[in-house]
Amino acid sequence: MAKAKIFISSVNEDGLKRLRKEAFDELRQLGHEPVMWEENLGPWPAYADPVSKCLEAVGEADIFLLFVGSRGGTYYKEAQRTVTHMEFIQAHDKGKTILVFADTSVKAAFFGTVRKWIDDFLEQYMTESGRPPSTDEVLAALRHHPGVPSHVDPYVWFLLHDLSVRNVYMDDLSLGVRIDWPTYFSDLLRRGSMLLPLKHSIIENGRRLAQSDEAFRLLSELASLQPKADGPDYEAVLGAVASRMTAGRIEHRYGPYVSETVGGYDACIGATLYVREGEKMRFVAKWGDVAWNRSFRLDDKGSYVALTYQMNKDTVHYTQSKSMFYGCFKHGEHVLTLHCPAGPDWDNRKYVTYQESVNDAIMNKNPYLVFLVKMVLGGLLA
Amino acid sequence: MNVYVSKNGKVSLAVGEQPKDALLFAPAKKSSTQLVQEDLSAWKISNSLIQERFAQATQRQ
Repeated sequence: MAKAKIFISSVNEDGLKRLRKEAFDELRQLGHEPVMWEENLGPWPAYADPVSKCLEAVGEADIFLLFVGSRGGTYYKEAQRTVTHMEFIQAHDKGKTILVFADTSVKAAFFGTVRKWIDDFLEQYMTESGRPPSTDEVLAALRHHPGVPSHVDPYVWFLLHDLSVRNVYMDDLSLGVRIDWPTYFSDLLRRGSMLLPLKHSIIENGRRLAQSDEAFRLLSELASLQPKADGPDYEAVLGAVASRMTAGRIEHRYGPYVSETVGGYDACIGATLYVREGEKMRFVAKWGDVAWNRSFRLDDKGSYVALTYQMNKDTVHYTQSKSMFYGCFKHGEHVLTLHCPAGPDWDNRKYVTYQESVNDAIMNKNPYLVFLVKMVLGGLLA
Repeated sequence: MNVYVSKNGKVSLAVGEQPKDALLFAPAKKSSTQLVQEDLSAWKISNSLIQERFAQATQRQ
């Protein structure tokens, strides 16, 4: 079973050495997998860049644990950041769980005065220079300001400011006081356990968002279509709709627990639109290379257009001889058909067995899209 | 759900083997409007649950 990999980061300063060592030992005893420079990170071959290696290790960790004391650490001029800061940026960018402990007196000074001073400095600098200051300029200003505690490395303020801008919570760190790691990690487990059951809801919401996004994109495309001299460009409308009916799988569900793929259908190759006029369904437009009739009698039992109108229900029709699914959508006086080739292994017997799954796959592929198409067609043809 | 077949100008329940050129269909149980309404309702409930849980899980005690 995988263990929680915890990257322990901090400046290697005297006050934090014991704390880091204690944390490393205790976390390992608790069954986790701590990673720390002095203990089990490196050594690497001479050609390997140790900073890159550290950042790699952060990327592989599950949790990023950062201790902040009063020293800033090794500053890389080229990056304008310290190694510790770069490790934090890497953890933040990779979406790791970040746990920060900052020295209580440093934290108090930061939130008491220094944070506001940095905010004001940045704003004033922007106003006067029209650009943000470089890190070196911020550090120089912090170094020379009499109101900023001088026993703390200016880079610490710069780091804490970045943490606060990113809304990273900072726990108190009292040097000499042991952190109760079992309780701390038990709380973390409790919080994580509350969120894990949300997996299904989050995935489902992601699906809904993607479907809504697709419907919105279709709406944008339809809104930008130029009408023809004699009315709406129905062919372009049908093309926009049909091109979104991509190939898909047909899945058969066994209750709410499990499903299996029983076949598929290809991307839509054509679409037609009909409108009722008297006792007939009159052809309005088509898209793609599909057969069409000038009109169908409403009582024509061989026409999926007329049948859909009469049933007043969205329906998928299937013919084995043409190996085709016809998704038929009724709205008001109109019937829209989308033609999707059935996979090679479909026949009448299989359709009868899995017709509900076929409906689910084609009719319910994106209900937002279908709903939108109906609204648009209703508006255009009203 | 019943499957219907259209052949020889008539619609009937599809029972047994059907000719290859027959038109088969089974009307959908729900309309797209119903599907969208149900999905939007589920989306709303799901969002509330996620927000509530995250609020509890991130609350500092």
